[in-house]
Amino acid sequence: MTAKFVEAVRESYDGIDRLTPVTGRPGLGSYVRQLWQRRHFIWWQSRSRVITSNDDSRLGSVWLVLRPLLDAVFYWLIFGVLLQFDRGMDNFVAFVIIGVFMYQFTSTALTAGTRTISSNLSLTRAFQFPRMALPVADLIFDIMQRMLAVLVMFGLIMLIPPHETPEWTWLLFPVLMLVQSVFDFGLMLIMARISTKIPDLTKLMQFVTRLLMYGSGVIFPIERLTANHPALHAIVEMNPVFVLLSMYREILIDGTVPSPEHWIMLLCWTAAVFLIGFFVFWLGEEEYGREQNR
Amino acid sequence: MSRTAESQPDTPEPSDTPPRPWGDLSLLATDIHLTYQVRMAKENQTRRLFSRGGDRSEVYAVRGVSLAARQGEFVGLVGRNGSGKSTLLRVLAGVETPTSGTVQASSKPQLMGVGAALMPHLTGIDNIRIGLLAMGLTPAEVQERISRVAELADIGDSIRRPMRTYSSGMRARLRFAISVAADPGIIMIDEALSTGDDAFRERSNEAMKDLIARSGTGFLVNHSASAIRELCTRVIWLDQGEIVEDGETDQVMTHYSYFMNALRRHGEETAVEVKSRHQQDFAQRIDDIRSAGPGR
Repeated sequence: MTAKFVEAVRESYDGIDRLTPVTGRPGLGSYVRQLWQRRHFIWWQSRSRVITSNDDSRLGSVWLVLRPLLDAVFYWLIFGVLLQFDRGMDNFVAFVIIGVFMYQFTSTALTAGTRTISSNLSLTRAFQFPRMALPVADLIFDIMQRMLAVLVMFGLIMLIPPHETPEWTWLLFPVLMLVQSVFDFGLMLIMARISTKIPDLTKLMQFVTRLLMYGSGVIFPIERLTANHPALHAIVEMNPVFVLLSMYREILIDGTVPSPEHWIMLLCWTAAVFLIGFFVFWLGEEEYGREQNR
Repeated sequence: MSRTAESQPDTPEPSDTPPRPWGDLSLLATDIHLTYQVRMAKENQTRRLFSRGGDRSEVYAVRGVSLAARQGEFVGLVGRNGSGKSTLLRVLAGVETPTSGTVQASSKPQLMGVGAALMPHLTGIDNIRIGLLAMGLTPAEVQERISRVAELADIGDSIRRPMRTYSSGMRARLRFAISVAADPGIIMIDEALSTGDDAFRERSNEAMKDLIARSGTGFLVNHSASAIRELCTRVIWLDQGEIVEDGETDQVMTHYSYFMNALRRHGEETAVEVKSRHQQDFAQRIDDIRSAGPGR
């Protein structure tokens, strides 16, 4: 019967061959093109979010600087002053500050990924655009917010004794941050797709980010604690976030260029996470506006 | 009609029954089905801590809808609550993917539903800008249209307030103004305009007629019979996820009002009887399409 209906329409009306499906995802190539076409949308969305993100507080955008500063003071008090937990490291405070600040970048991306679809539902329902625009906007929002935190971080490691002084290896910092951004973006995309399938993930995130924090040696040198557990040690050494943080510390504290092994491992992880993330997010393109029924 | 014809006073003006300028096919839906998986509580069941709310069951929201619409048509969807109108509209708009069946269109439909603020923290102006960019307009086009959108929304200085402070009527006005600004070839409106006041209703009707006149296609879900009669050239009556009748506004609205009256006064049984009297079968609808074709 349906075939007869289509046939009648074909014979009676003009233009049936000019129709295109309203659902269905475009091919990867045209998806990327559509995404590029929406670059202004992405830019304005992230921009206005940075500006209004602290509107509900009295101090407003001052919090962009104040929050990382308070974080740093907290860790400095605990680890630098109270615990004297430096175990023969020459600059433990810088170790902790770099760890905490750069790790926050990845942990916020993980959490943002689980929320990017659900918190933008009214936009998704109202307009047709490639949904990946939302996580991209989240990423840019995150980077813009993080810029101030990075400045605070540099200020602190130079101010707090033993003062770090700029070295030429600091020039590698933007390169490493770019790699981290791509890695974070891949994670975000994976999280976004999984969380539309399994919303319970949102509740697990606190646990996941905490586990990753200890497993990546953010506030203490994990590789020394696992020295007696070969299996655990191997896992930690393979952990991309651990590798990333070690590399930041090498260029900022030690003033040395990270080893080629570390670079290769980090780049492989980043490429894999990014490609997998991009692909799985694109696969789910049609799911993101749907009413979720479980 | 050419200008010279207008200047001749003795030419009979076909103003009462203007020739309907139906254009090309703009939307074709074939055998749409949509099923939801939901949990259904048993009778007298109260949820306990570790139990889920009832058993999984299927809800058939849309079952086997086929329809075709052409440029210049404004299609009204009527039916009682829960008949599948809004769901069907979301499927036609491509926002929701049907369980089976396909929807094809000549351009991406623009769906406008009732809803929350787009971006609650941003001002009306910022919402307009981001909305237009989301629809794929270039920054230059946005700059050019932004004041026109604000004018159509006509919410005064509130346009500079955050959208979360808007009343539901103001939200609807702004969303409508954004939706029509991109000149969508197909616009679908779900109840969204019923919150507007009289002045806005006039403006929005004007804007929609404009859009249809520029060979657009419209779909409207509305519970007000007068709104449907005023705007729509054609009406589809849905019940239990199926098309009951698809035809001229006057005819279908009359039949539908019989049905609703029967439902109100005599209950479900009589109403079903009324419905079956007007129920079109598939062959009949195919005939209608054929008779509307180029050979008419």
